Amino acid sequence: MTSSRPTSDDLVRGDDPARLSDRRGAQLITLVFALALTVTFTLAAFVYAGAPYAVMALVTSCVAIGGWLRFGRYQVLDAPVAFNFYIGTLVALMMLYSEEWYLHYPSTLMRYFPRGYSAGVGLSEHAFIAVFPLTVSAFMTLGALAHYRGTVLGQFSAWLVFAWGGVAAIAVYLIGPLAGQPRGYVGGMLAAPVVLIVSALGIRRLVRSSRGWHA
Amino acid sequence: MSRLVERDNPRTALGRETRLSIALVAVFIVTYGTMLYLQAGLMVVGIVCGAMIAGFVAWLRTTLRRPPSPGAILPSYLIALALFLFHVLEEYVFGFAGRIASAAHVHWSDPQFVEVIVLFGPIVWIAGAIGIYKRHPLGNYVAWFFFVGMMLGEPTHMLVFPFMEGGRYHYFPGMWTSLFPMVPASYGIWRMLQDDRAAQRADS
Repeated sequence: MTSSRPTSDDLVRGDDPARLSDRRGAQLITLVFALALTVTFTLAAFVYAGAPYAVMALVTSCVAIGGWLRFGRYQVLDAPVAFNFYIGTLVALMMLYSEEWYLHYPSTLMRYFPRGYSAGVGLSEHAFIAVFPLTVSAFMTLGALAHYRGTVLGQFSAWLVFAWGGVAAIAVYLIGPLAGQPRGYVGGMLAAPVVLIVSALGIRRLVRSSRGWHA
Repeated sequence: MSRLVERDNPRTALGRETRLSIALVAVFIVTYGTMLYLQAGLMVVGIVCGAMIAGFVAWLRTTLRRPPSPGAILPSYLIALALFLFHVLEEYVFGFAGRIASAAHVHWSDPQFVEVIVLFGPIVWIAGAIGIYKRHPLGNYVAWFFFVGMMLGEPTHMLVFPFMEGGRYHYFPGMWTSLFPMVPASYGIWRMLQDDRAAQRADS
């Protein structure tokens, strides 16, 4: 009995061995990079920004790695399959960060989850701007280049951006109920639906462009 | 298809999309310039609006009708944008707004700097990547504005700002990362001009 889903060997059987080897090497590097990124960012978030951000970083990484492992290796390379959604998510995320900054989202998190922060730990409003709209956006912009070039790393970048968009958007709606304060406006609630929709469309595009989807 | 033909043919009148793009850019220059003037004063406006107007003129005189292919400029644009965001990070962390305000004798607070330079500007520049990818005239203008801005505005961190404060030559926020965005920006400008010249030769 044969499986209906093609293996990566089936998909690239017609490719020349050098190209197949290159692709597998790139996949291995990307996987190890993704795992290194997950551990580093989750721990860094826990140490400097507190448990809520660590949970968000971990969930984002797990969704990105899971999606990429499930669909990314069946992806047609050499083409940016979701470039518009990628950039659209970055723009929507900037709008989300803007609203969160205006309405003191980092302080809200600390107020809602006091036990999630050790003494001296927590993201100030100043640090929030340095981390999210500037550093994270800069790295994600470089990821857009990798995605535009149709590389394996670019595929993972797209999964990471869409996963982060989804997690960051859902988080603003979840933190109130999780903290036992289901009512009340949290900074980011206006922009979050836009981020969520664009990210979801991006994930849909990635999944549908995967050859495994059609098998 | 007809739209592409219209855009590609330099002998025809400007298409509706192109004319609308010119009008939007003109409105954007006035709006962003006014907003910046009210917050940061004449010197910052001079640098940013200088780049916007120089980019506008270069755009009108070269690639307005034929935006270059994304393969030609998108990689250099994305690298320049990432390097610029790192540059703004250095400015932000080391208090650029306060220092430039003090040197230029204006009031420009950190929150105002965040609004205009960290949040609003990058939203436009990141969104511009879609325009470049789609070969839309607006995206092409954003590329011109950004590249020209990097070439005209960034050297001021080394050549102008330290002297404005007086005393011995010293560090000014953003100085160490100011020149790097110029590298991909110079390549981007060169590629756009090369593409335009090649297209003009093909027409004649």
